[in-house]
Amino acid sequence: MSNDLMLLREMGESLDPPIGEPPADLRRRVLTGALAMRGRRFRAVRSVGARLAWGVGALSSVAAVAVAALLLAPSATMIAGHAPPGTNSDPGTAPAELDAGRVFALAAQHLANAPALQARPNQFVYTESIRIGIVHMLESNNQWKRFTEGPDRRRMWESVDGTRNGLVRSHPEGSNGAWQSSVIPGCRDGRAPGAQDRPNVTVSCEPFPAVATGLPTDPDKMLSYLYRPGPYEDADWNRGVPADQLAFERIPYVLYLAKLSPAVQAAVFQAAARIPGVTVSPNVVDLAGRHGIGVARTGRNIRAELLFDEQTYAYLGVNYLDVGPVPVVNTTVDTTGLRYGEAILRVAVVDRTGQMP
Amino acid sequence: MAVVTQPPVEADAAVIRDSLAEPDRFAELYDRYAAQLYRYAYRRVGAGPAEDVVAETFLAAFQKRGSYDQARPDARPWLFGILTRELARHHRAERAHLRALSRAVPEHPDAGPADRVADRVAAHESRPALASALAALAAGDRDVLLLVAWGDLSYEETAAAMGIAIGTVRSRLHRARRKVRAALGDTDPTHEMEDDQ
Repeated sequence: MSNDLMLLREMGESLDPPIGEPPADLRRRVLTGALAMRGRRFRAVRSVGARLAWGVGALSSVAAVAVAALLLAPSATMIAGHAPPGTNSDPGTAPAELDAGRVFALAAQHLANAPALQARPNQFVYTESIRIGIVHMLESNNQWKRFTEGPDRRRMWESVDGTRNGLVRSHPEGSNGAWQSSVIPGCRDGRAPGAQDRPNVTVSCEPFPAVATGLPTDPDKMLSYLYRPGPYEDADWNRGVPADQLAFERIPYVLYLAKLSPAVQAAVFQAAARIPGVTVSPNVVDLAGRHGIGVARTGRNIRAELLFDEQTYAYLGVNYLDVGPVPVVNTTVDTTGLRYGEAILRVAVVDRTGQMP
Repeated sequence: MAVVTQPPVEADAAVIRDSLAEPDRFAELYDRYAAQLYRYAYRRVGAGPAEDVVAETFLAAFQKRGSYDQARPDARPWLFGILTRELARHHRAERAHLRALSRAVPEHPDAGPADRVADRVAAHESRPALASALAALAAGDRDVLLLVAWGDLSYEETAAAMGIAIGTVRSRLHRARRKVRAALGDTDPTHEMEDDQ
């Protein structure tokens, strides 16, 4: 070996850590981080919906002592006493006249008088949804192949304060197959259960509450909030994407964070009405087969579409569609079709994981 | 005599693929590679930043695992590639680290096996010059040089890790080594590099 490389290698050895193994805390840190991502399964792929996994819409004034449930179906909204907003006595023709600002205004109005859903720190937020996502895999012929994951029906119980173990169950939509379960590790006193393969190990952590606090209820502040990058965003993926598109794509995630607060959700919609470049499609269908109004913005060849009930303007979920070549790692793949979709069916507060509302 | 059958060790690619459905299996990849990635990062940026860089590397790998090239059974170049990109975000820490090393007063190390002492003294005395030379290299040249010298990656693996052609690896390595040699007092620019792979 040449002298220079040899000296360099010896220099390297002289700089080695005193103990060969990395610190034990590092393993905990990595696996906790990975576990925290696990609840957002589709984040593993570069699909926009991945980090915009949740949202919630309608509200209910019906709150039982133990179980407060809200259904997002129009009938539930009617039961809850919120008449469809707006003046569209003939909803069959009204959507054609709508612009995006009007849809958002109606969605905000729908939430205006709805009470917040109360939850104690020791309770769980139950969310039921149907989800679909895609994964790109590089095949041995060097071609990227697109695989679809789902649609799956998912039932999730998230700890309100993040300190208790939550639960996710899912199975293919329409199947009678067994539900696959996994635990969302709760974080108590800075410690969480370790990976499933090491039941006796705990890891350091920070609680991830099911309900975010401190989100703006003022539309101006919410608009600024939507234009700021969130903690889980991928800077590479977002590089060069117009700020208006990024703000629009953040809406579902903020709605997810605000799933028990109609005031915050209303602020989201009021702020969203001021994002330029948004269009309306009168008749869209979500993963659950519900027909609604789509409000969409297209950027980076992805059409991000928020779905609203066509009668009540309750938020139903999202569809993200590829409309042209989309980057995958260091290349682009020309695909079209649904990239990510989620239909939110039900959000409720319950006392225990596994408890149905 | 009892025959002990070892279960076959799964290729990294299979572990990564399986971790899509069973995220906990990603821990296997950590256990396989954390030590060498940590050692490499520790050499480049020192103790504190090394932990951050390795954590960020594995979390980025976890996020990107859906797009892992299944045609590559060995994930080591992929992980070193991610590590290299994460290190780039800590370039200030690396610069400070190299600056500190370049100022270090040579000291005589504890005596090792007799035939190693001379080498180690030489290595120690050359450390400030090497650190200065490394600090002066272009980032891409330094990455290639150190992936080879400290990461023990082959030229092919370095090319895969950095997403560059193997010819580019050779030219960057050539340029980097010429500068390192010059810093060590070798003024002959035509000096042969006899151990090209």
